[in-house]
Amino acid sequence: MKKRAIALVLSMVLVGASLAGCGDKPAASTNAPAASTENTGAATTDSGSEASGDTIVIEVYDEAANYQGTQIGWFAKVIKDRFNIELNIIAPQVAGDAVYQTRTATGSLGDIVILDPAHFSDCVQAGLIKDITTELKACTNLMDYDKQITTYNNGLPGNTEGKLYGIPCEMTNTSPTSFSDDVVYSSPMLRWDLYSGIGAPDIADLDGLIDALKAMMDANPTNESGDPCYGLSLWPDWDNNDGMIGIANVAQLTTWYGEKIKGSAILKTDDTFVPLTDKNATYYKMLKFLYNANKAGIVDPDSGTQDWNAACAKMSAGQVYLFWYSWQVGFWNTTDRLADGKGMIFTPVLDQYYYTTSDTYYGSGRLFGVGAGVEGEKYDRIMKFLDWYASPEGLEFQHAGIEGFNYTLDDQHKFTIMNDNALMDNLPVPEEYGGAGYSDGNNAINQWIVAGISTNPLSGEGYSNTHWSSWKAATATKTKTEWGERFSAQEPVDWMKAHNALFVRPSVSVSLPSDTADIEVIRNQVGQEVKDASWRMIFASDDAAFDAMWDEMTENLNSLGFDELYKFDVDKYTIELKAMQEAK
Amino acid sequence: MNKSKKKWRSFQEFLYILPFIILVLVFSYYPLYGWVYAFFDYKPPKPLSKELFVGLKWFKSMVENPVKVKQLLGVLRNTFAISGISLLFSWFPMIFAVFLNEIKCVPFKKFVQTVTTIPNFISWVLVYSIAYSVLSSTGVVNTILTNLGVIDKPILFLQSAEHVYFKQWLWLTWKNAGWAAIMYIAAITGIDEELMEAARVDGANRMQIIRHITIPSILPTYFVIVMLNLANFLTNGMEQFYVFANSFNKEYIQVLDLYVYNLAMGSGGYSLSVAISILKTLVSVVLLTATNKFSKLVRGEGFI
Amino acid sequence: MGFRKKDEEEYKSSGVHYKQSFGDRIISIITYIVYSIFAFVCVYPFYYIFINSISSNQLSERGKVIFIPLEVHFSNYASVMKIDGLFQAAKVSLGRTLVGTAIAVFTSAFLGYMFTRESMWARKFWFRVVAATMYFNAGIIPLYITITNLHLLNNFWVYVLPMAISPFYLILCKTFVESVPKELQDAAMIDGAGTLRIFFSIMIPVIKPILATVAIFTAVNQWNAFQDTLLYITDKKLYTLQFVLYQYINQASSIKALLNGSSGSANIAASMAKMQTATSIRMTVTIVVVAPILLVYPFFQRYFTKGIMIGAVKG
Repeated sequence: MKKRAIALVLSMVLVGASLAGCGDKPAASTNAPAASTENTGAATTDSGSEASGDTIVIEVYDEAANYQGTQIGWFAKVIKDRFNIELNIIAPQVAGDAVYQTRTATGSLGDIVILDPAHFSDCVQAGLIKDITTELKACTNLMDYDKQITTYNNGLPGNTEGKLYGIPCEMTNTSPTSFSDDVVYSSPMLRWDLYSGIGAPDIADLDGLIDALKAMMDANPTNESGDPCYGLSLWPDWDNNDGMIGIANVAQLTTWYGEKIKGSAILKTDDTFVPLTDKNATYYKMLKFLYNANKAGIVDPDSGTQDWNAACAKMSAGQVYLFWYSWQVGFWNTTDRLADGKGMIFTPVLDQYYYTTSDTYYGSGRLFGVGAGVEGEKYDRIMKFLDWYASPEGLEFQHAGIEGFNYTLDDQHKFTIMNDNALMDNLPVPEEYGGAGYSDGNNAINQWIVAGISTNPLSGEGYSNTHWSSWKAATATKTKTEWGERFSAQEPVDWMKAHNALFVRPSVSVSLPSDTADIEVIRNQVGQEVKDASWRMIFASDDAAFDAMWDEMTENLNSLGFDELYKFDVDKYTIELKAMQEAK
Repeated sequence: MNKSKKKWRSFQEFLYILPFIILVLVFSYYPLYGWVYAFFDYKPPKPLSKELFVGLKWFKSMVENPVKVKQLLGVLRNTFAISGISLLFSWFPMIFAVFLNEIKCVPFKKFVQTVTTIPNFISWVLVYSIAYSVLSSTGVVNTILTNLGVIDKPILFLQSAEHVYFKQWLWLTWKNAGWAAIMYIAAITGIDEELMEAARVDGANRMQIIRHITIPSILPTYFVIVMLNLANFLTNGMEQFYVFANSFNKEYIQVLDLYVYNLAMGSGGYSLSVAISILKTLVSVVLLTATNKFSKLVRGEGFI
Repeated sequence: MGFRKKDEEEYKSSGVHYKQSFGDRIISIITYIVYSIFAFVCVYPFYYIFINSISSNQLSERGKVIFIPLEVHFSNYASVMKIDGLFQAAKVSLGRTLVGTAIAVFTSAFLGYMFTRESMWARKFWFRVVAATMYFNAGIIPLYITITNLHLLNNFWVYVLPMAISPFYLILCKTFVESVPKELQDAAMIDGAGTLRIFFSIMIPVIKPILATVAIFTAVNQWNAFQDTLLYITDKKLYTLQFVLYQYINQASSIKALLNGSSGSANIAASMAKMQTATSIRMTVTIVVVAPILLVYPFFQRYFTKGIMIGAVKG
């Protein structure tokens, strides 16, 4: 009995030891090509002596990724064939914030880093990002964006010598003030058949919108399978996000009147800032709109307790009649529904003035950089890879997929889509292109140096499929033609331009100061207060209660340091505003 | 001679545990140098430097004006209420185990014992999804109530701030009772059969055996667990309250751990969260000392 | 062995014979009812999760699946099984569970026993040193730096060593050891047995039930842990099952990252509408993780169903 127990313990220890064995290997990365190279210092000394034939594993610290692990499938094959590298992606969105804290504390984030602007400038100052000036100048494709790259880097605090550290993401080759998309990020979108069903009336203002939604709800209280329908369905789990304080849904709606929330401040159309708590500004206005909507009985009663997934399920089941994010249509607008005239589409509210940023000529804000410890052969390949990443060939892979699988080319190098459900259905990719599912093998970096609206010099059209003339011809459906007749416009943005209802702010990518520890804590606390009060206000019983809650909130905010935060945010975003004014 | 032998033996016994003590020192005590972060405006990746030293700022920051004090008091009220209810009902897993042990039908007993541990493995996020699908405006409960004509408008159970403490205690008990009972089941198994046999021979009935043999035998285990938990009075964990919290019930559901999480999100909150963690440790040590004294008074021996 | 079995049978039969008073019977009935209700309340959510994991994901997300599965399919399980490196991760998880549990059970038992040895030098002090660690937490950054300095990054032992000593289990064991009659140890001492001999040949058999408890608790902790992988491991050969599944869940729920305004966003939303939902994934993963535990658990239960005969050990 006892012997057996000892044997058991021994065998367990052996199992442990053998497993531990595979953990020791990475230190000698030359022998184990597939192993990750956590220890950058050790790995780089080895890599100099490596024959160029060996695969190098590149660790990518990527704040844009929502996949952690090794890149697989067709995109893995594309880059392995060209650069003999593998990507091991560290994704804080998946792994959590602690990864950033711990990895920066020990001085190594990754070989390639993709960071949000505040983190990037902090990391440059802490010496975690490599100065890539010399090597970058030799990258011909990246040098097409020389102006944008230099503009960003010159704005880095403390970078007086004009060194280059970061490459902005999603730059375009259009212009700093043009707007090439057909829809804006946020605008009211209604179910076309139901809106036509109530006579497609002109909607003058927000009250008119509530009336229209109410009429639509009264006429169609349930969807086809008998589930209750709502005018709007909100969700709380995105609140205090994307650099905007307050309920995310409300914050987004402020752009319907040309205003944009910047932290705790609101940037108005006349280039001035007012506090979020200003009763005459749009946060209050849109909150009141939602309160009125709830009073009219068109708000989903579960709005305050459901999560985003539950809200999405309602959208795709046709239980929600108003959308406001451009991507929401993806949940409903299938080809069949568009053809039946049942699609969700922009519906003008006549007093509105839609805010949008221009093409992200200077980049979207995020930056690519190279880890400070990277040297030798590995560094060489990384720079080659990044240059390719911004080349037409690289961009065609990133934005359009694989030739012969996702699209065909005619002799003018014009694109026509094929297998348009490749991503949606994760279609199996033929072995010759790398195998696995298409979605599984899709580029897991999930961030581009050059945006899909940029013009492909080979085709003269945008890189991503929605900008191909072949695509536009294929998607002219009943919904769109009827809509076009009613509003005498081709696309939503055409209508907005024609009615002077589009407010385009130049898009800039500047380095902004990051929160101090103090400001960050204040921001958290203020954010909680605004969020909680706002939700209660939407569901308030009457106008008096609504206003009393607003007053109590502003009073509490004063004690929580709102003024300090507001001053910080105004100073911070004035830098951005100046850059916008100069870009004009 | 004998004395030095004894001394050697006493030291030898210490040598046996020395390797383990070293492990504890390395992994638990050495990293404590990190407590210095509480006295700085630390925000990674910037390393610590003298300019960032702020003394007790973070300790004071939670009580620096009336609104914050009010918030903190509310949070402490919630923490005390929830910890208090848990403490009050801490005997539940023990009684659960005692009566489970009385079940004669072995398959039923094993079945109950196994399935009551299942909730322990369901993450809080998933618990909330289930709660949502049952309690939402279109969930089963509201559908049944509406069909029966009891209500004409759905009740928003999850938004309600009524009986929050009790409801949260129910969720917690549902999730943990079966699991915690394992410890007591083990303790009951450790009772000497001869004692039971003797009592039975003396004609004791079931309740008498439970009262005079089973419970007294497992009471030491119960005491130790209660005392250890008592020292953790300020710690409720945050996941459960995080998933159930919304803007409507937050005033009552926000316990200290959740409050700190909300306050210290992001890298900039690191110093603050360390400061609070230090305070919690101090409170735990005080509570531990006090309960140990109390235990000495009542049972004649400490547990620590 | 056979001797004990006979005892048990005697106990069972005596249970039927000895006078079951009216009160006893009432208690019996109430006990059965209460436990049945409790069992139902515990089983139903698990059943709910299971039927939802095999039902249409869209119906499930809309809360339509309550009692019977609808539009049954197994693609959720198929996708989990297809996760890259799943089986390697399962091996690592099994490894850390076995090794981690063996070590934790040993340290809890041994230290629990040693801290009852009043003869030990500075016993109380060292006990308090160990016990106090339950109540403090240095924070993730210093711990990460410590682990880095010990070269435990990307090393299997990072799963085991920091968790090797658990004061809570140690105290549980110590309490159990204290409840064992002192004569047992004294008799062995007189026979000339040393500290270690007493531990191995007398204590271990007697405290088996509590060791089984500690084993279950640590095994489940080890099996479920993913935080350490998240912080200390980037080598995918050392990923654990829970970590891989955690990533899988998080990829589904952090999909917002994909919706950042670029023109392809609507396509991505469309693909999400068709694919699994975050909740369906979570449910599937829960079943995948809990099933092995439920298979192993009854094996441990046999340590709880038999009483320990101290007399038998004595003899």
